[in-house]
Amino acid sequence: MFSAARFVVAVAGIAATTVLPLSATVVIAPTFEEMVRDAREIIVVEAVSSRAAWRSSSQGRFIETTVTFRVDAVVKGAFTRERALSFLGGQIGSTRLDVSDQVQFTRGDRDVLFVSSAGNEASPLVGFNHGRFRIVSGDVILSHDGQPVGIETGRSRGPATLLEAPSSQALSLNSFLAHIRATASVAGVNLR
Amino acid sequence: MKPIPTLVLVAAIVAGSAVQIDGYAFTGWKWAQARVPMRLRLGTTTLKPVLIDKITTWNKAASPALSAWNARIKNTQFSAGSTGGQKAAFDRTNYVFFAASAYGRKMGSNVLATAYTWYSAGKAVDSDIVFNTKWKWNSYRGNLRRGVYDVRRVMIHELGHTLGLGHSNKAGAIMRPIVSNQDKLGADDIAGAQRLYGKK
Repeated sequence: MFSAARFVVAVAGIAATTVLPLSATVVIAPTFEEMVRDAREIIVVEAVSSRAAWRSSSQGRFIETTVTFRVDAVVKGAFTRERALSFLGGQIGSTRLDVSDQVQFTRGDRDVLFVSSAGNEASPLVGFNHGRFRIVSGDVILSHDGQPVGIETGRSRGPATLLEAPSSQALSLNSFLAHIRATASVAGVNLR
Repeated sequence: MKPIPTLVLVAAIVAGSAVQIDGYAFTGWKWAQARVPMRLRLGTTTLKPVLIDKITTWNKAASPALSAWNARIKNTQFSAGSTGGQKAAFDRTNYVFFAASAYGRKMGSNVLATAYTWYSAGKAVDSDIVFNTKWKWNSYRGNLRRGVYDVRRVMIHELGHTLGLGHSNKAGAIMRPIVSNQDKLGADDIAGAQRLYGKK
């Protein structure tokens, strides 16, 4: 899959030489504000199980993988203890359907997921794979493709921009959740 | 807690963790046969006006992407046809076409194009490329133009996925995950493809 970049880099507070825009993306990246606004749910989850199944459409049979997550926290949307999401692609026996740049989960993966309200899409996440932020050891936040996520500083107006950052400046889970809430507040997005 | 079935775990590890080797990456499959026919169903009707690079049909705009890869790899070659249907399906026929959905699922409003590839035991058997009709397409060389996407460079990129290449982190690679001013194969793309299919 191919994409275009739409993130604007406004670098401040982090050395420009070590910061990349969060545009290392496979799709046309939504802004963070758009992600917060467009998400039906924003949830902190852990993958607990996954099951691939054959499905049928007018175009024939295909494989879809449903991943079940334990919900550890809800940032946006109604409270729920468990959430199942279906992704186009997967493997049954020795046969696999690969959808370029589809996200993959393994049991124990911890993530912050921005779940789309669109429905019936190849990915249920906002911005295809951009709606996945990985939580790794030490509660550090990485983008869907494993890049540490930082935040610009020193901006005087509007919500701060997320940036790819060196590991030493990566956001913690708590800082990331605070940034979601701050972005929602500035954008007038109701998180309920 | 319900365990994830072993096969699914293996699949996720194999497919989700493309093997990254200094830039280019592999998806986990390659084609065993010498010829991979791609049925170009983007359009053979003469366009009015013609595309920015004066090419007259969508198929003609996209087909040089096949020869770009063919010129660099030895053991497998793409061939072009324009007959047949127009669908993403597990039918061992490789289609390239415009649509907003595949397999009954919308591509998503942020997606430019997607390669849907079926494979078994590391051997690709079917790969369809779908260009999202949500976006405005054209054909041109050089720098990206605002709001209009070049079908050929996207085709080169998606064919890279079809061949079994993942994304690259190297500057100058067409397999970088974002569409850019790069409109042709880069050294890193060629090196990756030649690891899979040999050097021509």
